[in-house]
Amino acid sequence: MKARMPISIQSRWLHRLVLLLCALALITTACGGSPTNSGGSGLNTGSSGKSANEIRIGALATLSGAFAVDGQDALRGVKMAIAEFGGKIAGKTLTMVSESSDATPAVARDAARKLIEQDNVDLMVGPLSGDEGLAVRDYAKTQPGKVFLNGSSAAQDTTLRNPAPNFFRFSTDGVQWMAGLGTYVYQTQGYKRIAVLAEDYSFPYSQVGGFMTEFCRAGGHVVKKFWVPIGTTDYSSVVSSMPSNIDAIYVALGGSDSINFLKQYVQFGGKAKLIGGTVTVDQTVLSTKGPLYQHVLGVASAGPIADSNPTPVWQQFAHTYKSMFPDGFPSPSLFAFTYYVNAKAALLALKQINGDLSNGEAKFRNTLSTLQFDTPTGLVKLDQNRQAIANNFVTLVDKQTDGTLYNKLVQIVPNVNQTLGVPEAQYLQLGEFNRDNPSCP
Amino acid sequence: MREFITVTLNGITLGGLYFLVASGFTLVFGLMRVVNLAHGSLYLLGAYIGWSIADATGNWILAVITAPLIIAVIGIILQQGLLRRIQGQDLREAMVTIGVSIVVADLLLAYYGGQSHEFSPPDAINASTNLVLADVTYPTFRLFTLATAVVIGVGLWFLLRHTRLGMIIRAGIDDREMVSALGINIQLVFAIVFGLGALLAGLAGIIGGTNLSVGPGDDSLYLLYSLITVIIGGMGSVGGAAIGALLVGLVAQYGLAYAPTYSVLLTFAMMIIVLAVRPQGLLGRPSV
Amino acid sequence: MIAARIMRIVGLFALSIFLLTFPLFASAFFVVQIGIQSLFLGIVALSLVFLAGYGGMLSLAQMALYGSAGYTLAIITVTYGLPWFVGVVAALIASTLLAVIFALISVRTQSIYFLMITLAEAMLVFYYAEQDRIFTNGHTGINGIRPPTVGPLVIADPTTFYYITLVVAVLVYLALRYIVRSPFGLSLQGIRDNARRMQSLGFNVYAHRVVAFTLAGLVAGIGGILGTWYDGAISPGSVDLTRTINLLVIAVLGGLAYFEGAFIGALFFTLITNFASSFTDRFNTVIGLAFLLVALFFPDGLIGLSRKTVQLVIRAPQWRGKGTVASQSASDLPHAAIHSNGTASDSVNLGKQFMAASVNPEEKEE
Repeated sequence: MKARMPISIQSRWLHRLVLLLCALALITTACGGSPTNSGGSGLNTGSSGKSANEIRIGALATLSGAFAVDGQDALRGVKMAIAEFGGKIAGKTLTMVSESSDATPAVARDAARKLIEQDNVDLMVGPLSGDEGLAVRDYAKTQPGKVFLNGSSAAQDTTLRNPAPNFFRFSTDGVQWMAGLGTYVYQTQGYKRIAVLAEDYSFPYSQVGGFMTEFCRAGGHVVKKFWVPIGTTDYSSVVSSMPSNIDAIYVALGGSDSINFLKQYVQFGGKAKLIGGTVTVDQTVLSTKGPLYQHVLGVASAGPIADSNPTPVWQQFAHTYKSMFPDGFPSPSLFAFTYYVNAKAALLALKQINGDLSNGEAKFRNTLSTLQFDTPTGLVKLDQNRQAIANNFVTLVDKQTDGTLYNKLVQIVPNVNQTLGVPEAQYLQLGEFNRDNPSCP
Repeated sequence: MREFITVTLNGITLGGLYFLVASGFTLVFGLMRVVNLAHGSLYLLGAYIGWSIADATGNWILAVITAPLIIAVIGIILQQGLLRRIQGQDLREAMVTIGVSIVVADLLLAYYGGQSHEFSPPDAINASTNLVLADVTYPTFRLFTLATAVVIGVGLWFLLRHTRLGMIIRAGIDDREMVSALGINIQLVFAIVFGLGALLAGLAGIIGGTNLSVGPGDDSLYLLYSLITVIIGGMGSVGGAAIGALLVGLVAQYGLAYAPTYSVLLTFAMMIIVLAVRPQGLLGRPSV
Repeated sequence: MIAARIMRIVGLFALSIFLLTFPLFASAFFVVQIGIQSLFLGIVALSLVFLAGYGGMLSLAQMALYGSAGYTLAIITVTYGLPWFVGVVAALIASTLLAVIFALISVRTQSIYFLMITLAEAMLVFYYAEQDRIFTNGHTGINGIRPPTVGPLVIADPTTFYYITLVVAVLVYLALRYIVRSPFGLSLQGIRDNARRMQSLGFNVYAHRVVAFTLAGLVAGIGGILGTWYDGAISPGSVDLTRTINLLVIAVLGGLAYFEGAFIGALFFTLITNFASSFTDRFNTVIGLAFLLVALFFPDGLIGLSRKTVQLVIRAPQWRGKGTVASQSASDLPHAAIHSNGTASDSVNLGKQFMAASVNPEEKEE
């Protein structure tokens, strides 16, 4: 083995150092990192090209990866809110800066940090998914002088346990999204014994927990629970182990997984009906043709919106959505809606205080805490954890005259709060929802 | 008991799908020493292209026939265009295939979007079969998958054992340089084998996609399962791929049925055990 | 000669000044999201460069080892509420132990097999983290991890954290450079080049590889502790396939055979992922193409590119007396002097030689 010679070490060093220096120098100067203070208090001195006559809104959504489509709809919601105010408040222009996450908490945190510290936004709306919400809430605690509003993230703990004083959620959480469903399927549809199928993480825990709280209270029995690993697409063994003496299966999966499951269930000769979680009966499911059509009819579900909501204010919202975004969905998704509501709340508050973001945005926070307003789904106001109290909708899959399927609104549950009507202390005692809790075999 | 039979059948049929995916992978490695980490991308391409063809023509059978052929061509282009110029440097080839897989995955995501796509096979194979002997209603398509895997497996065996090409391939697996020295155009053989591997991946893609659905992330998933299958079965051995696929399928399904939380880990645990006991895989050759 | 020496000292000095004063002129965002992130990612990439460039083992398990340290730190300090130093020690032990276990399983295999097995090991860790309820809290992961306050040092403060990460990075870098020049390191490189020959000379190839892998696990664990404090949380998303491949991309882009490449690659990667999304949605395609280009044409990565550039710029006739610049390059790269014949002038060939080292049929053992 030849040993290495000092001369060559020198030239190697030289080359590397030159490169390192050039790279670092070029990059830092070109990207213009400006020496602002890190705490993000009050004064935004117009670095990163922000003018004094501008209110900059940061929007964080999953614009890359498998959830990109949802993220795009989320941004549409923000744009709709901005458009309602004519793009200006108190003479200042409203601009939107968006950053993308990929549904992982670490990237969400980085994206939030970029919005707040690099893009210099005055407030932030987002994120999209549940676990990201927890990460952004934690980050918000380190930036007390900026206001954070939720996007669509629906993990309950974001506001129920360890809330941040500057994180506001004007949209309801995954437990609230199930309000009304448990009672409906027990009393109206007559399902007494059911099984549950869901993915093994926090959002389905909230959904199943919310559903079962009502269902068990009404007298129902959950005979078996199937918690499958995230990303499972092959449900054949779940189907094989499904008890046969059940009335229905509560499926808290996403749309395409639900179709997979349903296909396999029917092919194995399964007879029970389905109950859907909030994200279960989506466009993918509703556009089913063929042998699964009959099985999709009559699936009940619940959530913060209902596509077929006949109230004029919702119809107006859907109409505006369609005319503003002809390449969007046929009807605004819950991502567009929740981002819209949260963004609108921010803009309403800003209007009330005439765009005064001084003093660590203190006036902004105070106004938001007491804000209540009418949304396309009804009145929304906040509880003491800055969590929304709003209406929830129970839907049923029905067919229209031309045979296409849609979610028919069958019940409105008014003013659902985070603890489903139970006093907070008592609710907290029930414990976090997880695989085993709640239980009513 | 019925449940047990169903779960076992699930495992066997899933194993059939894994065999389809892994057989191409192991063949390419055995002969060319190329670890094609873009194999999952070929799977995904096969599924998506097959879906587009079926969607455009309304003919699923046409898609099943043409999509794998298209993927075979793409595979040959990949091999001739990129891999051939760095032939012999396994790590570098592996990295090139990783790069290709990153690009392909992103482009497919851009084109087809994030939601899953469903296939519509002819109703005849999309229904249920009544397995009278076991008194079980079973999805016909899964049986179709198994049948396809068996046919392909037999076909490969026949190819390798009873044709001249197969003889060359087996010789090449043993000693590449010698085969070349005997005057056989080894580069042509490489191209054919890589194309065959890609064809199998594409076929697996459209079958797997029909079985469940196709969506982003499937490429990594099936690549991972191919890796586990061939690590267990032995690299370069088609028979090993069959055994490995069967084992992985069974363990995955039993796990999902009886211990769902840790079911994924069981397959890995099995792989680790095989590695600890017999590092070259069950039917692998001892000299790497 | 003297010019080169002066330039080297000046360059080193300038770099040190730059790194030390970085927080003073760069924004908080740059210090934290670019600076600190590049540094701890660079540390983890160092472990990969060490294993791959000097040990001949391209491992995809490094992020899993990062995660094992991170999760242990999280569990000890958050779930059990024990003091931070217990967490740090436990985390380092965890990643080292896991590295030993992985090594015992994998190091009997070579290059491609090794790659695949370490990939499978990494996925095992990921799926465990995603599924387990008892320790890792599944998909959500563990939040609320705060760096401690040690005496007057508030580690959570971005500037302090930057300096600590910088110091650790420099220490690890220097330590690894020392190790590869030590007898152990030289034997390891010999094993990389021709294991059979080393075996016949009486070296315990297996033991050397296990030790190397364990060391790399320790380094990855150090990166894991810093990264987890940086994030304040850990989740399966920190150790998934994407992050594993990201680390490979970082090391390869920087130059898989160079320690400095680890940090260059990390910096480059961090900048792209933070800023490319402003230009295009398809930045994954951009990264994939860059990776492809490097693998195909510039195996020495950015370091190799810089070398070529500097060669063009500094014609350096005074070096001709010691042989051509090229032959110096051939001999100072950390791989087979056995293979180099002193006339290889293209860094492409040199990088090729690194990656071709595994092709030598004598290499194959099992």
